[in-house]
Amino acid sequence: MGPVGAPEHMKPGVAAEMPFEPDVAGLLTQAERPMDQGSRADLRTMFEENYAFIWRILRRFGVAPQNVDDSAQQVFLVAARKIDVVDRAKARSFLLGTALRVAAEARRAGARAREEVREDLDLVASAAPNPEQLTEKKRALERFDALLDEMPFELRAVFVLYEVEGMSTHDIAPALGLPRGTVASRLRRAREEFDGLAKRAKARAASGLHREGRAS
Amino acid sequence: MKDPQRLFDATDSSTRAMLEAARADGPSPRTHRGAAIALGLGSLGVASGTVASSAAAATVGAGAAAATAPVAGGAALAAGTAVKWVGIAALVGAASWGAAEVATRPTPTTPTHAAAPLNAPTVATGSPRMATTRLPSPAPDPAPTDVAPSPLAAPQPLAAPPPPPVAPRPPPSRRTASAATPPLDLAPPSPRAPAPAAPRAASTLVAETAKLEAARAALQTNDPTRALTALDDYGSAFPRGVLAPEATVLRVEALARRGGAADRAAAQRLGEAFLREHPASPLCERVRILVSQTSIP
Repeated sequence: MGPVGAPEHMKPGVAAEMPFEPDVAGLLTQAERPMDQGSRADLRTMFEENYAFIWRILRRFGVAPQNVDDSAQQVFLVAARKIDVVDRAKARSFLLGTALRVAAEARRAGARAREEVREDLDLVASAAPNPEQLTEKKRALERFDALLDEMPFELRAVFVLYEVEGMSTHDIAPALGLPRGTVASRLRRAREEFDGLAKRAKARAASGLHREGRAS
Repeated sequence: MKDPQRLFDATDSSTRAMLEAARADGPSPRTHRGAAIALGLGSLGVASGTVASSAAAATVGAGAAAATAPVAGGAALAAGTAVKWVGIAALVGAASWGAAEVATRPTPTTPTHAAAPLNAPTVATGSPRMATTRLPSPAPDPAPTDVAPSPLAAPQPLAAPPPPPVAPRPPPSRRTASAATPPLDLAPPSPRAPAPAAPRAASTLVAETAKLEAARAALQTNDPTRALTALDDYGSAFPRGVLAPEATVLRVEALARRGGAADRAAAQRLGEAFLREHPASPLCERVRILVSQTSIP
């Protein structure tokens, strides 16, 4: 494997809710830098190995479906800009940390926008294909995302990485900048939370079906 | 410290179905490819990466599109087009919209977001095991470290005489591309998605992308006037283009870049209108920056 040990400027930090500080001055200058062949190859490898992973976790972290593509790209744009300083052995961890912040930012922006279009969205929801048109899998995914949406973000992140992505708490801890014990306890809480939410959703669905059956 | 058993292995069938669906979710090959192009990695082809390796992507193609259904409507609303997306044909269109947005994102040379603070990325302390996470591992990928032994070597000059890291935009005739790079349209027509809408959407998309690319290239060579001409061209060719938002942002940028008082005022008006109409767009950040620059004399 490659170089071990974090470059000095990369210090563990709180990943989840840190707001972006747009680097306005650097936007134009640094952005125009050409990338050498080696870096390009590295970026390519990072991209190919992690794009689907990053895309998926962004969605599960609550980025709205229509924004996931853009957010995923944002993550890799950050990687492209920092390609010279990213430790190749920890590329995935770097991308994950970046994805968390991008997700947090996108969620905030999304929340603001949702306030404004809520009514219209309701209309759209009712115009969506009826349940028979959705496959079981799609419905399962929708249910899952709806449950995740009700979880606190910090629990959700740990839950997704552990239960969906199959990461170990050992790997999750540094990627989130958390002690491993914290990851373990959040995971425990996340599972309890998820369990409760799933049970309630099931009960709601059952009563909803019941009502619907009576109405028709 | 021992990790608990995964929920997946110890749960009821309903939860397992959800987890299964979540594990199989992923970007469509088209999206994947679009992102590669936008990052300047286009020519390599996402070929081996997505198309070949991820069964998930292939089958989920349709899944992703359909799962996006209600929200595609949201996007449409946000874009100011009061279209109600009903039926699967609309979903296919929505999916390609997503890809399109990515494909034309103004590239690495103009990140929509200034990068996160330098110390932001958290660092894994000794976790090469990260690699054990499930991912659609592209077949013969060399480990990143095989490619670049020393990440800190090779400092780069800030000045940028050589062309920026933008992928040469594949021409619309990309159908003829080599076997190594499957054409955009080849995004696996998933079993459930009705085909009719897809090819048309894709070819329009390529044409739209090409026109916007001309504008972007002009901006890159610091020729905002030519960029504006290209954008007019785009506007008349695709009055209801799906890339209209990106076109608007490019226009704001071109006007801001040209910099006359009238241009700056126009950039500001246009930018503010964009922010109102697309409050949730990831392009907003960029627009805000551009608008804030126009107010500085």
